[in-house]
Amino acid sequence: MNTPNLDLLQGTLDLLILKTLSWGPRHGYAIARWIAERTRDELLIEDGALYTGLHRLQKQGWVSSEWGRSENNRAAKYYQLTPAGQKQLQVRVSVWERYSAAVTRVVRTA
Amino acid sequence: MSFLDRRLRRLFRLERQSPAISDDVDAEIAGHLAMRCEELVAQGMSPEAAHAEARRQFGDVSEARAAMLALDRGQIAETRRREWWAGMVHDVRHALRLLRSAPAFTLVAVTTLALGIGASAAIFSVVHQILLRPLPFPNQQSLVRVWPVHPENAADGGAMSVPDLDDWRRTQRDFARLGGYWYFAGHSGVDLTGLGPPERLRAAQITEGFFETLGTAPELGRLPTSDELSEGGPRVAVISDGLWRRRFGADPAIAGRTVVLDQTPHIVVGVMPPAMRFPGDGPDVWIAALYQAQTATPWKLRANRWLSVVGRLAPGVTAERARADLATFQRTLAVQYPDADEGWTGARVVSLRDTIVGGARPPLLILFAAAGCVLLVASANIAVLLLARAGVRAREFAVRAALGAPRSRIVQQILIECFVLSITGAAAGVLLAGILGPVLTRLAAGELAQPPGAILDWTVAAFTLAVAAVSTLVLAAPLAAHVLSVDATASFTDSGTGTRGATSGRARVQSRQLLVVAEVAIAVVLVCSASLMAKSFRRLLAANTGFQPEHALAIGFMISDGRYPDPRQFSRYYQTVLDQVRDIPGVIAAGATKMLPLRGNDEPWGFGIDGELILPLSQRPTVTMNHISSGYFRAVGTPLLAGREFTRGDTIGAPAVVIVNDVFAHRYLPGPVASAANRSLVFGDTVRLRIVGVVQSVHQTGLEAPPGPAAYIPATQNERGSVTLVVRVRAGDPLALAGAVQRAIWSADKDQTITSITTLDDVVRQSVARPRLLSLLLAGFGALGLLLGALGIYGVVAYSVDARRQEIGVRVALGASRRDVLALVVGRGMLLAMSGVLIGLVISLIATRVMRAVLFGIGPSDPATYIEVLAVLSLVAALAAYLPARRALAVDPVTALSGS
Repeated sequence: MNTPNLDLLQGTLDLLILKTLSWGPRHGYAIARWIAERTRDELLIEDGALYTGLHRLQKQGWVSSEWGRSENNRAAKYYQLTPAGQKQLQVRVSVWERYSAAVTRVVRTA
Repeated sequence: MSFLDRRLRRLFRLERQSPAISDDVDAEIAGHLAMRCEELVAQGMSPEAAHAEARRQFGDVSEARAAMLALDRGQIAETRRREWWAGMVHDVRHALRLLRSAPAFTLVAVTTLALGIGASAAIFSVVHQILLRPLPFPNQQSLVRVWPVHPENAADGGAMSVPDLDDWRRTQRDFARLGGYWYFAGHSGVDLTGLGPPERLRAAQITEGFFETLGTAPELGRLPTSDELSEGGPRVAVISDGLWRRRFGADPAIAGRTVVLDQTPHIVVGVMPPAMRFPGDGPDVWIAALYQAQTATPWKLRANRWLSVVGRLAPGVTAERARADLATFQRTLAVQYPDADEGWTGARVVSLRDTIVGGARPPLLILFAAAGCVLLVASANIAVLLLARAGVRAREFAVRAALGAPRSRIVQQILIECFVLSITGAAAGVLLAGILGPVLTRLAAGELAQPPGAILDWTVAAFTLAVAAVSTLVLAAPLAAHVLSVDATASFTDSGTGTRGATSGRARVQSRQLLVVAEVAIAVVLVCSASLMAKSFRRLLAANTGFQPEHALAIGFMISDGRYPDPRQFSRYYQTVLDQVRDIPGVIAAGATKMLPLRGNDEPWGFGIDGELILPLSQRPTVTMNHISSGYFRAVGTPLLAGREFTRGDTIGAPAVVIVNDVFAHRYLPGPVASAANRSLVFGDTVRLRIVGVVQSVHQTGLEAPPGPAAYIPATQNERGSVTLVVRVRAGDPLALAGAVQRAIWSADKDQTITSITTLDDVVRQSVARPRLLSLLLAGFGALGLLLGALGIYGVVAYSVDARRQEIGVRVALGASRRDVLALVVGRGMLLAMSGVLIGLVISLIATRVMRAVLFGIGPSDPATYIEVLAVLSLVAALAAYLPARRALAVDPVTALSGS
């Protein structure tokens, strides 16, 4: 990792988790892997922060969890979006798009 | 399933229900780290390096762990809260559904509770208003009434003289302030003139320090200075808020205005706030006591004890210390002024609150206790009904238990059901209290030291809620105990008909029987106190009053000071009014008195008997001196026992005469009553009055108080401005002639103010208003208790008949006669009832002792009453047991035996 890691913006982690879960239930490690792959390791996300985020979303009622078995037969806690979480994801995505577009416009201005 | 087994299972379930959150979080973190390691190793890392890298990527494990734990705990707590609420809502709905599905039960239960709670709340509202609400004075606990007493003569009149008060003020250190006043509701008054129609105002006479002691500030203007309240000071007046609004249009510039009171100009210096209703029923105006001439009230006489005194104890001084100090000081006064103060060697210091509301305390507390008893009987009764329904509902509880509801949930449901019942009953009870409360407030009419507040306020609401909570517990406890004692699974599997069901049924029957015994016992206490009070009241009414209240009108008015400066003028006016009234068609007789019977004692006069040893003034016995007109005894209906009545000849210039009552004659003039006439009494140093007649004794202070020695003198020889005409009419309602009597008075003086119009019957009624209401309410509570107790017996017997159908069937089949069956069933009921009655009678013997203060002519342990109660209760119990027992006779052995 030679390139400087980008600091995670407030709320961005939540968005990433919600988005990751929109393809179906996953356990915490899978979520971490998936985000790392998709961001090509550009974002430095500590696993601890990811899990804290998951539990926070669960407390807010946007994700639910249950224990299950992983691919290699290991006990793992699977998270999945709740209906409220689905809605939350849509809201967050549209906010993010407007936000990043606005920032991009400013940054691109010569 | 053994007990231990169940315990273990419950223990286990408890564990599973609250899984250790930390284990969960730890497992999750460990799983994550393991997966990460696996992958890193697969990529070719050594296990040690992989482990370190996994932890590095995770970040601070303990920090994340703590955050996750906190979030999970919060979530679980929230879920529990939500579930608890959902459970509550469910239980309330369930309870409402149950109550709706049994409308008859609900109606009976709610009505019963409403009566119990309503009675308690109504009486509490009065107790709160009168006994608990603070007086409208700051730091009222340091306010006291003080007066000297004469221990030897048992003279304890509550009053003292101005010179004694001045001496107390000068020497004592126990009081921050002392102030005197004189006020007699219905008598103390001044005429307000020169401002529209003349009006008789209620006027309190006060001395310096009166307002300062109470600590009441005027809402407008200022307090009178001590100079203004001294003899010969400029005449000032303090007026009430009510008078200020009523007669002066709430004039903001009232201070400094001049008003004419009793033909004398007074300057208004201040207006008292509405809360200031002291003394008595709240005067319209406060004026200086020492303005009075010595001829009206000889206040410079040390022996003239007429002033009431309030004091504010200095910080840290107890009432007892103040009393001891005052008594010591009185002893020095007795030595210093033997003529006036000899023997007055004691003192009394009583809290102001007690002197105002003390009399209302015993009846109120008795009523409060009685209402509490009614509530207990009511709750017990409903608890019995609930237990009876528990049999029907055993399955419901069993199903719930089997579905995994913990016992705490079932108990919660029972509590909620009972609370829904109680709170509904309380709501209806509060409505009832709203109706009953105002009636009750009359119980202590005139004893409120402040305007009556709302009957229902927050304190009463809080009390009612507390009562509802208590009744919830009383209702729920037996049912919950029953449900907990029954093995739910067992009663489910054998649907309550097997051996276990029978066991649980027996336990239930036992607790119902206990409840009914308790219920009957409390009912007996209620009935005992009610019948004691009723008897006492009947004896009170039967007391020989010494006058005839029927067909007599009483009209009060005041001849104000200074209107007839010459005694002859006064006498002529007084006589003219009487003559005019006697001329009215329909009037048989008319007379006048300063103080009506039952309205209190007139003036205490020390006397000597001519021809015997005349004691010094301070040691003379006293007689209640009444000021009356000619023909008064004929008008009021008091029999003359010897001699003659006063006539119009007994006036100024004629020989001074007096009439005594028979108590006086028997106590002081031995020999036949007739011989009393023509002896003379000595008053003061020189006054000699010849006794011209002896009359029967009249109750002056109340029906319950035996008359004391009294004497009568003609008002035409001893002028008194306070006059009540007693007009005896031929027939019909005496009030019909009130208008004619007023016109007759006005024909003698068109400006005469009239203060009261009533009948002697009403005077009697008012004097017994408190015992009447107490007696009525206790009768109501007693009847309610009796009814509920009877219902309890009825219910238990009816239930036992149903439960024992088979047994009865067998007995009948084996040849038992109707009589045997009846004896069996009724006997059981009577056994319960009679144990309740006997326990109740024993409790009554102890509990009714508190009634001694309100009973007249009957002791609290009057044997006849107890025997009557025993008889009545036995009869009621027998009836309550017999009615349902008849159903036992209808049991057909064939169906009973095959029906199971």
